[in-house]
Parts: sequence; C-alpha cells; structure tokens
Amino acid sequence: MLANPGELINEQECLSRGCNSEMAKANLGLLKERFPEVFRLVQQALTTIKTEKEIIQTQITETTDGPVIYFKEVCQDHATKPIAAAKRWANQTAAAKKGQSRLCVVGFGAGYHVEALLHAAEGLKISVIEPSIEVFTRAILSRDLSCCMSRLCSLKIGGVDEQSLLDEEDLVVRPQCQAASPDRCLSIRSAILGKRGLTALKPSFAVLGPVEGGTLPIASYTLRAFGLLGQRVKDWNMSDFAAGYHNLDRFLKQPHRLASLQKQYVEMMSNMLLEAAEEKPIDVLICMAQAPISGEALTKLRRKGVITVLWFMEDYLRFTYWTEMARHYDYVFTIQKGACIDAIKKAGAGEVHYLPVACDPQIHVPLDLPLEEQTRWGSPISFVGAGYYNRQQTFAFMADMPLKLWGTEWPIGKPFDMLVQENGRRLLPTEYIKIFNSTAVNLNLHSSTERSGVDPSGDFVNPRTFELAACGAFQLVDHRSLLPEVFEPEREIVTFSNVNELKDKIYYYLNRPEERQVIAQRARQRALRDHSYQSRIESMLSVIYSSKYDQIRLRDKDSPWRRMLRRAKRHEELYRRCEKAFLAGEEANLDGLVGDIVAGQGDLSETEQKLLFLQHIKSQIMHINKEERGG
Amino acid sequence: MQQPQEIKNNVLLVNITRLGDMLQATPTIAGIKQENPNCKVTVLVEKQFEEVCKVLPYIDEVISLDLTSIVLALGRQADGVVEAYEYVDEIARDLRSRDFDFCLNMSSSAYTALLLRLSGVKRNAGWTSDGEGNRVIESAWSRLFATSVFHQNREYNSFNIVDIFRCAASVRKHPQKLLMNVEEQALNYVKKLIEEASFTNDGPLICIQAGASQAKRQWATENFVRLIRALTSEHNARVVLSGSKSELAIIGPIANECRENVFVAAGKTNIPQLAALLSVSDLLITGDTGPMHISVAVDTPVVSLFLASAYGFETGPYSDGNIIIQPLIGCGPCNPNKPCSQTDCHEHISPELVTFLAARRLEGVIGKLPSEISKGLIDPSKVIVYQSFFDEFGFCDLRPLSDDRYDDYSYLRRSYRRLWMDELEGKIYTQGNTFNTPFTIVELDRPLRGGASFEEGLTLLSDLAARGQELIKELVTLIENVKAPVEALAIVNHELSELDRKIEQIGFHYSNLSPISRMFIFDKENLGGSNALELASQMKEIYEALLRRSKKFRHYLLN
Repeated sequence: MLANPGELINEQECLSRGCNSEMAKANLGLLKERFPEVFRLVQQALTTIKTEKEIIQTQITETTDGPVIYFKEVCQDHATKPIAAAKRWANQTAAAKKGQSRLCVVGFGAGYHVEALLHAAEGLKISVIEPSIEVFTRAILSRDLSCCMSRLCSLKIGGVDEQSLLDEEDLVVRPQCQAASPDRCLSIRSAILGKRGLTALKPSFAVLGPVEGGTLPIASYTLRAFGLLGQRVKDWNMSDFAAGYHNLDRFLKQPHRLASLQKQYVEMMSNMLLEAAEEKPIDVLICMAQAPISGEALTKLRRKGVITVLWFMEDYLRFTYWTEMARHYDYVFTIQKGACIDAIKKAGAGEVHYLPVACDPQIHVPLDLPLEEQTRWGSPISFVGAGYYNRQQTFAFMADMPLKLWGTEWPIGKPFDMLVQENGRRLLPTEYIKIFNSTAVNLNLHSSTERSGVDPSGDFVNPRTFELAACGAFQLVDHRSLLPEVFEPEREIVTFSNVNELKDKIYYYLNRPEERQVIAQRARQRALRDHSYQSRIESMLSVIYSSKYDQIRLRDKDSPWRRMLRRAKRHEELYRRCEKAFLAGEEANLDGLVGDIVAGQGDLSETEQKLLFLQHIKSQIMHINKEERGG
Repeated sequence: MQQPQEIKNNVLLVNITRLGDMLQATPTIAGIKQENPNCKVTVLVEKQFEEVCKVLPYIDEVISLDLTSIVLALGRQADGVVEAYEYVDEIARDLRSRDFDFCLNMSSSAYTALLLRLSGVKRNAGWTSDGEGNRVIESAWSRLFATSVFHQNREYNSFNIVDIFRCAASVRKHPQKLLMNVEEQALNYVKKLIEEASFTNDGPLICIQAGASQAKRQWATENFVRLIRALTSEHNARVVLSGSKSELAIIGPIANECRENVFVAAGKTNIPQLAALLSVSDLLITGDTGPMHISVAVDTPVVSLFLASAYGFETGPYSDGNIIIQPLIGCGPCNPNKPCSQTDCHEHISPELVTFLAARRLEGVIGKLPSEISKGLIDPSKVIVYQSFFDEFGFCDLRPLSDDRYDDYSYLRRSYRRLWMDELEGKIYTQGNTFNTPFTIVELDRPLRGGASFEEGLTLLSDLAARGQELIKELVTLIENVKAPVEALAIVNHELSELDRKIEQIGFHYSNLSPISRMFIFDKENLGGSNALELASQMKEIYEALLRRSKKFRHYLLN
C-alpha cells in the first residue's frame, strides 16, 4: 500500500517512492527481461519526469482493492472496485472472444483487467497496447504486475504501426482509454484495423453520384479508386435521370410546384435505390455531394445495417443542405476543417473528417496534342470553370490579355463575347484536360458569389488544383488557407492574392517556360504521390474500418458470399470463380458466376459447362413460369 | 442416305420434361431392344416422371434429374448455388461412370446438350454441345427436326417426331404404336371409380381431357359443355372428365353445366391409373396432350383437336386410325412460345363436328367424309380432318378425310416428305403425291413473295451449290500447296462465307425453299474435326447434298 484509500499522492513523491520499492524493482526487472523496448521507454519517462518536472497528467487514488490511475481526469480502471469490475469485464470479453486465439487490448490502466482476462481466458494469447507512457509508468510503480509481465505475449506503448497486430488478432479498446486518449486510440485503430480492413474486409460499396454537376466526374474517379484498392463497388450512377429532372421545368414554372415535384422526383430515385439495395445488397453507401437520396431512404438503409457516408465536397457555408442531412450519415467527409467539421458534427453526423478532393492519374495526364488540337484548345492563358461573380469581375479586367474562358454561366455581353469559347458549353473531362495541356498559364480562381476577386477567407482547395497539377500543367491559383497542406506554395504551385498580383505573375511566367515547367513537374509529382483519389479513398476506408471493423466483419461473416465461398472451398475452380466474382462486386448468385462465360469463344472448362447448364435450367424454368402465367 | 446401324449395348435416352415426350420415346426404346436384344436402356428424366417410367416397357433403368431442387437451390442463392453445382457434378459423374456407348437426346434444350457433353458419351444423336458450348446436332434426322420446328418451316413437315427421333437413333424396327403397361391394381381402382360414377346411360365410355398445357390451346368451356350434352343425350355416352388436380379449375365449370352422365375423374388418378382409365374407355377426346399419347399407348382411339401451336403432323397420335382435327388459319400452327389474345382457330372447330367425328369413330367408321354428310359441319377453308396411318415404310402420316384443297402447303409437304425420305433414308415412295391435285409446271412458276418463282429459287440454289463445289476444289488445292499464300486461302474462305450467306438468304426470300437452305446451314454448323482437308471434304459433301436436294425437290414437285 502506498497511501491510504482516497489520498492523492504527489507525483514526484510517488515516483521517488515507487522507484525504490521492492515491488517496482521486481516489475522493472521483469519488464526489462520480457519487454526491453518498453523498459527503455519507462526509464526515459522516469528521467524526463524527474528532471524536467513536466506537467504530469496522471494521478493515483487508493481504493479498497488497491491503487487506480487517473489520466486526464479519467479513471483508467474502475474508480472504486477495480478488481470486481475487471473480473466482470474479463468474463464478458472472454465469452465474446471464445474460439479466438489472440486478442489485443488497448489500454493498460493499473492492469487489473489484463490480469483478470489472463485468468478468465486461459488459452487466449493476449497482447497490450497502452497509448500513454505516463499511465504505464504509474502502473509499474504502483502495483505488483508480475502476473501480467510474465504472461503477456506482447506489450507496446504509445503509437503502433500496422504490423503491430497479427492478422488473426482481435482488438479491444477499453472505453476508459478511448475517453482519455481518443486521438491515440483512433490512430491505433486506424493504423491496425484501418489498414487491415483494406485486405481483410470486403464489404460491398455503392458510390452514389449526383444527377449532374461538377461532382459527377468525381464520382467516377472515386469509383475507379475503390476498384484500384481491390474493393467491391457498385456504380449507382444517376446521371441518366438528369433529363427527367430538367424536363419538370418544361411543364412547371411556379417555383412551389416545381420544388414539390423535384422533391418527389428525388423520392422516386430514393425508392429505386432502396429497391436496388434490396435486390443487390450493399454494406456501405458512399454518397457524393448532391447525391439524390432522401433522409428517409438513408434511415431505412441504416436500419438494414448499411453504413452511410457523405463526401461533402462543397463549401459548407454556401450549400447548407447538410444541416438537414448530416444526421442521416455515419460519416461525413469534408473539404474544410475547423468550424465546418464542428458544425456538421453538431448537426448529428456520426463522425466528421477532413478529406480534400484529389486527381485521377488515369484521367488527368500530360498530353502531347497534335497541332490542330492545340490550336483549338490551346492559348497562352486559359480558365476552365463556371462564370461565378468573382471570376467575372476578375477576368473582365484581363480582356486585353490572350485569355480563353471555357465553361458555362458566363455573361453574354462584352468583354466576354470575345473571351468565352464554344458558346459557353459544358465541357467533358477529356476536353478540359486538353485545355490544361495546351495552355501556357492556367488560371485557377476558386469561386465566390460574394467577393469580387480572391476570397481572403477561402480555405478549401478545389478539384481543378489537383487536376491541373496531375496533368503537369502550370497554374496560378488564388491563395487558400488549406493549400499549403497539399502543395508547397511557390515551389510546387504559384499563388496570387489579388488581381494585380495575378496579372504580374501571368506576365512573369508567360515569358519563362522553363520555370513553368519545373514548377508544374513538381506539382505533378506531388499530386501523383499524395493526392490521388486512390489515396483519398484509402484514408476514407481507414477511418471507416477503424471504427466499424467489427460491425463490417460480423455482417460479412454470415453474408451470402461468405456462405457461398465456404461451401465452394472444396471445388478448386468453382472457388476461384466465386472469389473472382466476389471481388468484382457481383452478387452471390448464379448470374454473378456466369456473367463472363461465353459460348463459342474457346473451350469451356467442366466447371463452366456445369454453371452454364444451371443457367440454362434457370432460364428455361423462368420461361415456363412465364408461360404458365400467360406469357 | 440412311445411317448405318451400329450395335448398341448401353444406351442413354434423355427425355426430360414432358410426359408426352416419354411416351413418344417408347417405339424407339422398343426398336432398340428389338434390334439389340442385349442392350441396356437407361432413361434420364425429370424426377416427377420417374414413376411413369416404371409402366413403360423395355426401360432397364431410370435416372432422375431433380430440376425442382436445382431451381429451389438456385433461388436460395449463395451456398444454394454451390449446392446446385454439386448436384450437377454428381449427376455428371454418375452419367460418365456408366460409360454409355450411344445417347439419344430427344430434348432440344441447351441444358441437356451441355449435360451430355459433361456425360462424355462419344456417339450421340440429337442435341449435344461442343467443347466451346456451341449447339451440335449430330444426326441428319435431328437436324431435319430442328429445321422444321425452329425456323418457321413447320408446315412443310409431315413426319411425326416419334419417327424423327427413332430414325435419329437409327432404329428401323418398331411397333408402330406407343407403348405403356396397364397395371392390374390401377385397373381395379378405375373400375371402382367408374362404378362410383352412377351413370344412367349405358353407351360408350368417353374420356374427355379438357385441360391443356397452355391457355391458348384450351378449347372454351361452352364448347365442351355442348359436346358433352350432345354425346350424353344423342349417343347415350358416359363421359369421364380426366385431368390433374390443377386442371379442376377448368373442369369444374364444365361439369357444373352438364351434371347427367358426367363423372369428374380429374385429380383422382395418377398416371398409371389414368392409363387404366383410358384403357377401359372407348374413346378419348382431347387436345394435343400427354393423355392423348397415353390413350394411343393403351390402344384407345382418340379424336384430337390441334389448336393454336399444336400441329397434327408433328405430334399427332402415333397409331393407326385416330382422328385429328386441324384448323386452317393463316397464323397457325403458331409459335408455342408466344401468347395469343385472340384464339380464332378455336372457332374453326364446332362441338357438333367433334360430336359427329366421335360418333363415327366409335362406330368404327374411318375414311373419307362424304361431303353430303359433313356439309354444314366442316368449312374446308377453315378446318381439315385427318386420320393417322402408317405409310409403306412404316412411318406415321396423316391422310385427309375432308376436303384439303385450301391447304396451300399440302403439296409441298408431300414433296418434302418424299425428298427427305429419299435423302435421309434412301427410300422412294411408290405412291407419289396422291392426296390431292398435283402442281403443274405453270404453278411452279407462279410468283411467290417479291415476285420470285420456285423455278428461279431452285436454279439459284443449284448454281450456288455448284459454285460452292468449285470453291472447295480451290480450297483443297491451296491447302495441299504448302507454298500457297495465306491471303489466297483467306480470299477463298471469305468467298465461301459470302456464298453460305446467299444460300441462307434464298431460304428467306423463297420461303418454300427454306427447309433445304436451313438443312444446309445446320449441316455446315455441324462440321467436325480440325484437319483442314478433312473439313474441306465434309464441306464438299454438304454442297453436293445441296445441289442434289435442289434437283430432287424439283423432281418431286413435278412428279
């Protein structure tokens, strides 16, 4: 006993006393023997704390069962009855993890629950990660941990890398630890489960794009990124519904009628998606900004266990539909930080994370265009984008320059009649890439409906920044507060803060092609390295898998595909075919297996013949049933 | 030419999904046994017909395929798919292990073709599949069947499918009837059943099968009611309404309208009991149904109505002396796979005509219907009455009993019958086109579709066939010359493809010549082997056959 129950101990004193106690010596001895790396960390901690007198965030209080550790004012054990509570927890955990061979516990506290678990689950190999060296040091000095030290399989302190956990090892994060070290726990989960999920979990994703607009191509880049990451993904492309949506205003002019019908149109699309999810189940729905799905539909999907995700790649202050919709999503990913994340969290979203947009290295590529195409698409200076207010104001002052404006919503009058190309039509991604590639200086001015030039408080970085960079095209971009995180200003990318600076830089760089090329190449390298949609989706999945790993795994465990794969295991070729269909995102049915079997194109294997046989039977029976129903 | 008969020791017959089909296989099975007394005959049937096979003679073993289980398992998806796969795997292994030396697939479904491929039987007749999953039809008779059934050439065919499949299996001896055993137990059961009926009439026992496999083949309730009332009141008949439990919905309303001397046996008999019931009946009145074939098999004559897609020449009752009523209508016989919302062909047959024919058949009077008697009952532009018989070569055929001058296809059908009998069996009919007035050469030259004439079409076919033979000669020369440029081979191959396309188009343009061009296409599709010279030799024979058939057909049309 170090002190009387309930008595707070001075940290310094505690450490001095503890280090010298026989119990602590024994603990340290065992630690040195079994986990020398952790021993070194503890030694360092003791030295640092003693010598630098850092603010220590740990406290110890005594209970009738022994000392308990508080970290950031959260008790890491049960505050009054740590032994009994640890036993209960250990029994429950042992029962829940029955049949498993390994378990990793995040959070050591004073070690009561680890001890209890070592007793309750005799055959289970247990490892521990304690995020805080302070907590662990306290524990070493406070209690006899010989049982833990001798029987734990592994012990890690602080952060972990993805190799820290074996593939078959399960992870349990203690809630006390989660409360005191949420970021550490998240990074541990993310490092372990997030990465592991990418290979171990194969949920079925659907990417729901908008009906139209700038996010539409991003939906297709996202879809490809899922595929490149080996994820099973369905394309819920709704762009064919755009014509119907627009046709409504051919018939209706009164805004309230039109709005009502537009809402019903979205509801119809939502119902269709619900039916689609019923017919071909999904596990995770990724909605891009402006995805045409109602809150009610999202609720119904969530009731079926579908994880809902919104990638909200819009200015949260300008587009405020998140206030209503955020609560229907388990995750919202934003392109803004700070207040945006707080506001969306407050609106009821499960988790909110920053995730900027990116480039698609398969689409956004350098092009060597023939002269004819260069003449059509090229110019010394170009801008591609919609004619927002600030862009009109800015580019009107540049009418004397060799500037081409591309895109929609530009004014008809002077000077734009001379600047706007091809009647201001909407461009395809394949077209604007040609413009990027045949322009000496690409302008990139983030849109604003309020400011007349550069928005001084602009934060997020638009897709064009990454796309231009990936094309190896030189750009001048307006300053954004989040830009330095993604490109190094003036080295990888050149910025401007006002129109005059923009003009100066245009003149400067127009005459310096070599400098332009060096900067553009750096930007391209950075974009390819750090800013592909593939890396963004990897980050997104890391977040989702780190907190929903168990949910997804449980759902997957008895999913139709798992049942099918289990049963197919004994038929080698069939199993391979099942696996292929599974990874391709097909459904766990016969159609999913025979989709690529085509008669008359080379010899069919026996397995293929058998599957075709089944397919023919199915077709024939369907035909007979149809006949019996009277054609 | 007739296929040489090879010894059969261990034969598999595949006949999966219909009761009628099983019965229609019985002459072939009996013939195989007659020609190969030691041969073991195994049949592969759908599970629900397994029991029926027990009352069919000469079957040594039955393998059943449980399609329902397969479909249910597939419907469960996920592991159900693997379960269905394992079932197929098991069936394929079982079939392979039996080492059959010959297989006749009487089903034209794609899945049986694949199953036979999986079963590894070397010698096949009927549908099977090559290694790439393509359809292969391995006998000329089966190709003729495909020609007739699948390509709108049905009106040109007069061979009963029983004979077609029998010949596909190279079976020459046969009993000229369908076969089915009647069990003593079943017989006792139906005798009791009839006693329960408490008939007050004591005339002939007439069974009526009112239900049909498709709605468009279902004669109207009021027609049956009028027929039954006439039979019971005018001919002292005792009427039994046969059928399955599911057909009670059709039969109930009929029975309700004619209570006297009508007994509903539907739902009270299984297949052996139905056979027993039919064996004690004097006549069956039916559509083209499974019970029609059972009736024939137990030697009870039938009066059958061939409505909608049913075509008497193709699937008519396979025994001597049955009556077939075939409506004459521009859209008939229609596609079995298409529904019909306006069954005009049903109106071509009156209950009075059926009553009249039933009464005559009961009296044993079979033969030409004198016009003074049938006047008012038969409009020759709307219906033809036939009688089934066996021709001089023992092939089932239909002889018109009523005036068939409005049947535009009659003469062509006869000519084609003679052509195929000559070509595939090497048999020449002595009787010629005897059933109605022969065409004249003037009629041969009459304009057909698009102003084309028979003569023109046949000349074109002959010219193309001759050109084909020339091209094959060139091809062989090129193949034999190792120094021949690859381009030259490609040019000849391209010309051959173009030529074949033209031959196929002749079948579309001169539709009456379609059976000849279609047979050519099927022959080409079924070329086998990988040796270039061997393939060229087979192709040469196919062009020779086309030329020969064109000439022979012209001859049979004129003589």
